[in-house]
Amino acid sequence: MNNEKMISKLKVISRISVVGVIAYIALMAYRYLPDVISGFMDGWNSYDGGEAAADEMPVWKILTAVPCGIAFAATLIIIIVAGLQLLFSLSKGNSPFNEKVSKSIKNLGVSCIVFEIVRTFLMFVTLDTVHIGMLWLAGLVLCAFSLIFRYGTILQQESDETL
Amino acid sequence: MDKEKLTKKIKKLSRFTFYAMIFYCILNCCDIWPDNVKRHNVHMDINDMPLWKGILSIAAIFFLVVGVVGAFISAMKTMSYLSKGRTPFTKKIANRVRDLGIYFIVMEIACNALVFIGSGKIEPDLFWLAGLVLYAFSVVFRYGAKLQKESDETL
Repeated sequence: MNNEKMISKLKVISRISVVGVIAYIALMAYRYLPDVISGFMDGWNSYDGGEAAADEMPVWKILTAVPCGIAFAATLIIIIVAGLQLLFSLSKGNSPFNEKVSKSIKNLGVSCIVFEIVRTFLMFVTLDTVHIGMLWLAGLVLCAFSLIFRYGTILQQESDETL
Repeated sequence: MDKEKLTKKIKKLSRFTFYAMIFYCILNCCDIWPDNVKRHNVHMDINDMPLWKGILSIAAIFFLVVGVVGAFISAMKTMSYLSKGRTPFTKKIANRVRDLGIYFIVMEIACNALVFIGSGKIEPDLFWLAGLVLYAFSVVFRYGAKLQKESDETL
């Protein structure tokens, strides 16, 4: 397969992935958003145990739950934005090797690791359980891939200079 | 950062990820890993379901196991190759990344089929997307292998 064919194949797969991501987000929003809104309207977000139980909750838990919740939402948004950025950059341009792509892979990897840490901490604080998923491993793999893409960028520069 | 430094960094990070994967795998196999959230509980009674459903669910379980084991082995092999070779861009690594993507997609289809047979619901996860992205990455790796070859020939 020559370079042009490979790049056009890459563009097609990336475009399919972009459409897939947007469809998935839209589907999830359609499925869960009405429940979330009605939940807030009906007061599901209030603490189940009542005021007395809320008073018994350690202060450090209350103080850490709020910033953790914000960090959880922020990293989730960063993951979605970085993922879309990566797929958009791969579906455009002449070469997949550029600084933009490697940066978005790095952002994606780091935010996956942070997301896993924050989620674990949040679950520990709110539900008193510890659950560690696989996202931190995916984050590490993505960090390695971002370095590989940087290496590829150097190779691409060399190739362009030779031509 | 020059190529040599980057290669060293890639090797270090890949080696670390490889060992982390082994650690994760061993702890999971020993049921020590703190992963107490069960996402799907599918109850199926072979006496209550038609034959075709039984056959399909056995096939789905088979493909699910193949997908999970294959994905883990492929990921570990990819990281192992990355921590050894002179360059990350080889056909072998491109093929491993492609296999990883395919296993992810197989895993997602099998899991959804099993949940559908058991509960009549479809609950798509994001593994199919990870599979597609990894397939795209495998094409990028193949492109990189060509660039590497050109670079080696120029030198």
